[in-house]
Amino acid sequence: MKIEQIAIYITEGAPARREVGHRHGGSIDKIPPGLSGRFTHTSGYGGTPELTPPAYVADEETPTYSATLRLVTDGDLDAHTGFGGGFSAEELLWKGREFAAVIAPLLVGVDAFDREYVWQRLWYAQRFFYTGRQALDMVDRMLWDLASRWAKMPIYKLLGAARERVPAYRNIGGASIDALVADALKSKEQGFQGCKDHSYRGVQGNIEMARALRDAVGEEYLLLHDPVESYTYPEAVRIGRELERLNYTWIEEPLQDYDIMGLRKLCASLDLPVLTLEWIGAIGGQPFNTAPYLALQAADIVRQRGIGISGQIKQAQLAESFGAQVHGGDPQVILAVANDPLYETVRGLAPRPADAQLDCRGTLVVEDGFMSIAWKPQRPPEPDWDAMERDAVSVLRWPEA
Amino acid sequence: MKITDLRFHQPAGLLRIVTDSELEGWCFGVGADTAHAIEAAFREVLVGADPLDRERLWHEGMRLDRYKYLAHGVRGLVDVALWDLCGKAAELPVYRLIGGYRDHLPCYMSGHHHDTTEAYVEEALRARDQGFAGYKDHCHLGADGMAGVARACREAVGEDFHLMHDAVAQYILVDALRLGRVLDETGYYWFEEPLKDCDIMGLKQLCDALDLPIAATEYLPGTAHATSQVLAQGAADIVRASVPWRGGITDMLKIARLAESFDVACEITSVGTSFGFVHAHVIGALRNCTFFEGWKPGSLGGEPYLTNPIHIVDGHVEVPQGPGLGMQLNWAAIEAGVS
Repeated sequence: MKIEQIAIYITEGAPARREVGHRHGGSIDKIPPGLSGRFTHTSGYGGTPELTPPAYVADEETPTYSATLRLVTDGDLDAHTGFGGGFSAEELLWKGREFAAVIAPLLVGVDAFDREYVWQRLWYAQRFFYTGRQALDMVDRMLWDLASRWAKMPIYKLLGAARERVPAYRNIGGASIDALVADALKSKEQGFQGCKDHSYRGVQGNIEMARALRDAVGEEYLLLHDPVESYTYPEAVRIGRELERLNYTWIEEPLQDYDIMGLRKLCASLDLPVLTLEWIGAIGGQPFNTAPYLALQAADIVRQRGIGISGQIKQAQLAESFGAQVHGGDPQVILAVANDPLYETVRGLAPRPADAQLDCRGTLVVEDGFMSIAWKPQRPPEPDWDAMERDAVSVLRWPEA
Repeated sequence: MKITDLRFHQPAGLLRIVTDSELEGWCFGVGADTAHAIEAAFREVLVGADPLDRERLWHEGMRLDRYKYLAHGVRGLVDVALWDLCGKAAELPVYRLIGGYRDHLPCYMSGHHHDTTEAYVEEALRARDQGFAGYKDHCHLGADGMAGVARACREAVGEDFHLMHDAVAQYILVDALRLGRVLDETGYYWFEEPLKDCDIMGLKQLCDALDLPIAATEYLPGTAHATSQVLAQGAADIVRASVPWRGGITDMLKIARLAESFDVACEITSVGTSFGFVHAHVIGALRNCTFFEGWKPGSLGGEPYLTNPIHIVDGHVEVPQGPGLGMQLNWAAIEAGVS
């Protein structure tokens, strides 16, 4: 099934008021008590709310636009995905033109099931055209989605399912330790099997928090600590020992990802598993960056980051061969590997939809403390391309004919 | 879909995984002893299972490997039949179920042991003239005998033809090092299994000292888990994988992906189980494998049980177009010898 053409449709949506503001609030300031001289995000300990910068909101509503990317094949099914949205049809069109100019020539003429060929081609496009990992991530997912609809089974079954469900935990938040404890208790009430903080209150503050959390949730509940690279090596060892006593499940990003020798030493010192490589993975370079970390024993658990479904499988199997785990993969990947132990959610529960709403792509279900994917062997309807064509404010094609 | 039965046909050596649908998964290379081992160990795991749960069943296979002391090479054959079945269920050839990379595979010729240098030269020239991309000897004349073979072969075939030496673990370190220098000089493409696969320290020393790549792990037990240790130690420049000696298709993919992340090639060993069908599909889904390894032009075998054997033509193999592995069976021939 060959990809013959790419098409991008820009359609108009409901008018909305444009606004822009600080994505996360808070500021960047010294980690308490400030002695290490390192900086972190203040929201994790409720600091300096007065520094939250202003948000800008437009005076009136203006039209919105969204772009749909379609890889047109010579078969019955096409690959397609949302390609962005915003308030400027013109800017979306230029984004589409960039895709048509740089990426489309790497796809047209290729078989839509030759995902490995496309993955490798787009991998090297990152180097030669500085495309970033986003194009690879998006196109690989589109082609897996196409294969899923072709085969009328979800991606995790195509990959070869390892299990039907995994335990789920929820991220908790709050400006104070009391607020974190309350949120932890809420996650427990919702049936989650554990919870994870993102607390940047320094080693002493975080030890107090960890004790309060363990005290509140009881002995068995899974607790995970994510200080997002806010410790020195001695601090990481100190809190690591306390977390071991408190029966924590892992410590995440204790040091900078770039501190490979520090991480190696920490993995050697602590019994507590150390999870790394979120930041480096967000930049790119996976799964290749992971190999030396595992060879040097500088990671116990490795973060999955957008390199498509194909790349996540490579990374999970690399880790597996070292007896290591991965975390944070796509739900379809998590169910297809045995070494991604927990599902992480920031969104909370996702009840199982009615059977009538299911199709072969599968729908994420988070309930009763587990993540699973509900599906049935039926294709979703194809988008109405004729209507899209008719209603679009712009249509871009490459090649044009 | 559920697995309902396992069936075996001898002397064809065919394993059939039968389901409650009209689909079946097949693997050849299952002799009577292996069939008995599969029946004894795997039946209770497979019957009733969803064959799409390949990864779970792979882990079950690993468990059985340990607890039932399975012979090296039993587990992988079951995995192959599951992949064949899943490809059929997805209506895709196996290489495109994995994610296709190519469908036209260059081959090198793997030669035999000979007593004279001239015989190796003749074989290398024949490989070149038949369109193969390279020639690999299996020379057991000792390190100094092989040094002469390497010089003579290079002189005969010219500079632009790939030559590889497969020692099948016949040397000790000092001999491998001495010969390796000659293989460096004569521009060999790789030096395969110079030492035993388990001699990790010796292999590392060769990898460090020699310029040409050292290929190892063809017969290493422990699938990707053992291969990772070899790569982390820098004890192989090229790793090897095959069915059944390293496991199944699942194992080959795990090993190849592990190797890829170390920027190392995974060269698939020989024609493999099921008359080249398995290896052709796996190589069709990999970037980091250079060649298909064959013995001669023409059919890779399987007659009379297969009606569509794979052929090496002009030094290349075409990946069969499925669904599944794409094997078409001659039931009359297979059932003539039902066991």
